[in-house]
Amino acid sequence: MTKLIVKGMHCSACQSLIKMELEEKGLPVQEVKLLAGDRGEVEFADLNEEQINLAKKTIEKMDNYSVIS
Amino acid sequence: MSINKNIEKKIFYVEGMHCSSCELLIEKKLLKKEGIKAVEASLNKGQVCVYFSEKKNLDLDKINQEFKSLGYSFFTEPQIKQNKKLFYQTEGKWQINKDKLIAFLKTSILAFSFLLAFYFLDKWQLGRFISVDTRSSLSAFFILGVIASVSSCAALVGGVLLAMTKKWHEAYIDSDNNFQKTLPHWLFHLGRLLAFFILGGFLGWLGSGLSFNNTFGYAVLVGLVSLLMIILALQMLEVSWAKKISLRLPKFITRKVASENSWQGKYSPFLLGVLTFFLPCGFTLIAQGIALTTGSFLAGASIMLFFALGTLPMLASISYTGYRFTQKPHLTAKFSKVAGIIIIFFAIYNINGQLNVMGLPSLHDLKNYSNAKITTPSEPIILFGPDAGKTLSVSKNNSEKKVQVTDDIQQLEIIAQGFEYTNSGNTVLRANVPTVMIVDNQGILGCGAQMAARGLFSGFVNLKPGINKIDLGRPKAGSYKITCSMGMVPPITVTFQ
Repeated sequence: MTKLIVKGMHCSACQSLIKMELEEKGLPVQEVKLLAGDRGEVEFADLNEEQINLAKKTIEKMDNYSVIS
Repeated sequence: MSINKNIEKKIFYVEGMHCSSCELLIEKKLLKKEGIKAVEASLNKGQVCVYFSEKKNLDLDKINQEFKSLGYSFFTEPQIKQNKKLFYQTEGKWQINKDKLIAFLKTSILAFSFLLAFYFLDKWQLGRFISVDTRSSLSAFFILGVIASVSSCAALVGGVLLAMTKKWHEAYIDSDNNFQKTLPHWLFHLGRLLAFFILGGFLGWLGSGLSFNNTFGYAVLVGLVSLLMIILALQMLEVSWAKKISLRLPKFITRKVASENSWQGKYSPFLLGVLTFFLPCGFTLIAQGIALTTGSFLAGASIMLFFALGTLPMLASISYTGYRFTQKPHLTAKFSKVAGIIIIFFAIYNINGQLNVMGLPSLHDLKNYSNAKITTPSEPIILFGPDAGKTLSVSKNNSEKKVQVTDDIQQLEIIAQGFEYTNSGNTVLRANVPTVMIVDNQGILGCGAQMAARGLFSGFVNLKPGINKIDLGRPKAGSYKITCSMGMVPPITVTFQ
C-alpha cells in the first residue's frame, strides 16, 4: 500500500477533487482521508516509482495542494 | 436562455458550497457530462452557470442524485438562506434556530461546569490552609504553587495559556509530528520554570532593598492582560467586530515560524512563559516577597522554582486539554467556544480583583448591597425571672460603637483571620484626623497576608503575626476599600467623613 500526505486539504470537497483528479490519471486510489489541521492522506494500492511521481505531480499541479510525504 | 444558436445557458442555485474547492469540484464533475460546454460556479452568489448544447437536456433530478453524496443540492429558483443567527425573523415573527440553540446550550454547560468547579475551589479559600515565610520548607512553596494554580493563578496565567493554545495551533499547523506540534507548550512551561528559577535567584540576591509595592502599576498590567484575554476570547466565540482586531504575530514571523533560523516565531512561547514571572498573581507576589528577604541567590531561586513547579500540574493540564481538542477538526470549534466563555470569566475575575485593590466599585459591592438589610430588631420576650412574659426594650443604636481615640489619634481596628478582614471598630471615622490602623493578625493566611488599601496607604503591607500598626496620616474624606494584594480577600469598606 502506498500513502501520500497532502497539505491543503480541509474539507470533503478537497477529498473528492483529489480522488477525481488521480483517478482520471488512471491511478488506483483506495481512500482519501482528512487528517488533523489541513492535512489529508491518500491511500493507493501499491504503486511503482513512476506512478508515485505521477501522483505527486498531479496533486502539486492542483491549486492549494502540495505533497508533504 | 440561448447565447447563440447552439449554446444554451442555465443558472442553478446551489446549496452546500462552502469553499473554492467546492466550486472546482462542481465545475469538473459537470464538465465531464456530454453536451456541457462550460461551467462557472460561484460560492459568493451560490450559483452555478452551465453552458450546454441546445440538444442537451439538463435533468435536475439526475444532477441532484449525482451531487447528493457530495452534499450539494441544485435548485432552479433561489433558496431562502437558512438563518445562522440564534434569533431571526420570518414574516415578522421571531423564531429560534433550534440547532444553534442546542449547540449553544451544550457549549454553555461545558464551560459553566468548569467555572463552577473553579468557583467552589475559590470559595473554599484553599489559600488559608497554607502560610509561608522564610523558614518554610521548599515543599511548602510547592503546595503554595498548587493552590495558586487552582485560584488566582489559574485565572491569570491559565487564561492566557488557554487563549494562546488556539493561536499556537494555527501557527504551528505545518509541523510534522506530535512533538513539534506540542513544542510551543513545552517552550512556554520551560520558559516559565527557568524564569522563576533565575529571576527568583536574582530577587534573593538583590535582597529586601527592592519591594513590589506599585498597586497602580500591577492593576494596569492585569487590566491590559485581561483586556487582551477578552479580545482573544471574543474572537474564539466568533464575534464579528472582535475578529477584525488583528492580534496575530506579524506575518514575517508566522511565515518563518518553523524555520530553524528564525527564533522570533519559534521561541515566542518561551518568551511568553518567561514573562509570566511578571504577572502579579497574589500568590506569586507572596513567594517573590519571601524570595527577596532570603538575601541568597540559591534560596530565592529554589523558592520560586518550587512554587512554579507547584503550578505546573494544573497549567500542564490546561495545555494538554487545549492541545488535544485542537488536534481534532470536529472538536476545534467546540473547544474555541468553551474556552472563550471560560477566558471571559477569568478576565472579569481578574479585573474585579484589581478594582478592589484600586478601591473602585466592583462586583463585591453589588453583593454587599444586596446583602445589606435594614431590620427593626424585634423586642424579645423575657422568658424567665420575675419579669417573665414582659417585653424587653432594645435600643436600636446598640450596634454602633464609638471610634477609639487615644491621645488625639483615631484608631481603625481590623482583625485579620483566616481569609478575611473584619472591622472590629466603626466603619465611619473622621476625616483629616491623625489615624492609625491597628491590624490584629490572628492568623491571616495566603495572599491575605499582603494587605492593600489604596488611598489609605501606598503599595502593600506585609502583616506580621499579632498587632500591626499602620500610620494612615490624615485620611481625606471618602470611602476606601481594604483587601489583599490581588483583591481576592472580600474587601471591607471604611468611610472617613
